[in-house]
Amino acid sequence: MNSPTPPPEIQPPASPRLYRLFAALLGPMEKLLGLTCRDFTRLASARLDRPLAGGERRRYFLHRLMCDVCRRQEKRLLQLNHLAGEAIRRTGDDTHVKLPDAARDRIRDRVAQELGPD
Amino acid sequence: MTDSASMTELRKPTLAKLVAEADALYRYALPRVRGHHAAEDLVQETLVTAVKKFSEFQGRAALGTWLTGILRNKILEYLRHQQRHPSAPADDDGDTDPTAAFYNDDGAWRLSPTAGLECLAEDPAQLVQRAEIRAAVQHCLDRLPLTLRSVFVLREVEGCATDEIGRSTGVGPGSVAVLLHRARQLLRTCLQKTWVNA
Repeated sequence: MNSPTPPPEIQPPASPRLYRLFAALLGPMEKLLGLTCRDFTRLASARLDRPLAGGERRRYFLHRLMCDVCRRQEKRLLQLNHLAGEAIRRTGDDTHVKLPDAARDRIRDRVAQELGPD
Repeated sequence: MTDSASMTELRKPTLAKLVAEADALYRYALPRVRGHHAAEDLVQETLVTAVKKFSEFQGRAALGTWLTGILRNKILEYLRHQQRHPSAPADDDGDTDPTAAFYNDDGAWRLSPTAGLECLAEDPAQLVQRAEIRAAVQHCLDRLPLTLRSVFVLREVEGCATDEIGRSTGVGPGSVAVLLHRARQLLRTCLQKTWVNA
């Protein structure tokens, strides 16, 4: 994750011409009003952790109304967030994952030392 | 087992019983911290703490459940410590936004934020059963900078509130929000790359 550059295999948004036309027409105004896709994505993430303030909520819903790409992105973000958390929790169910033998021996010795003689 | 035998067992754990729980504890710790050495150390600390505090174990829950509770606290301490005292130089210094390249100068998407993520439309309960999906999530999580990884795990796996994360890690609430946003976006991009190439 050291390189911030998005992978080249990922294509531009669906209906790129339409998206780019809107972005070109509305972009400067959206930037001025804090209504860009970048702003929306930040607010969509914040919304997962706290209620949005009045001004934030208005900007969030206004952009959401206008931008199909961001609507889909938000949906995927929610699904991804849920999946990631659940996937990590479920790793505990993979019974083939076992403590390496060397570590098990080390831990057994340390616990035996802590338990002391019977 | 008689009551007296049961009570004797409660007063003094056996080595075999404790070590028998080690694999399950390791599986719990491994995805939550970066690297198997850290997970092993946490399992050891948990079992040593369990021996010291065994008189507090009332036997109302299973031994494994009680040990997992201890381990969870150890993991939270570990993540907070990592956040405050990173062992490696920070690879996600706060001034550089690693998501900046996702947008053009007007803040519009340069590339699709959803390409490759079509599988997420499937039933999440089914999706998470698939080992390759869990492996991809783990792979991408492990590639996150340590600070972002810790904040993400505290929030999305352990369910800590952002102000709680801020208090325990010494990061301001605004910064926690920024770190979470970056973690989610970098995780998304990594999974896009993984699944687009698959």
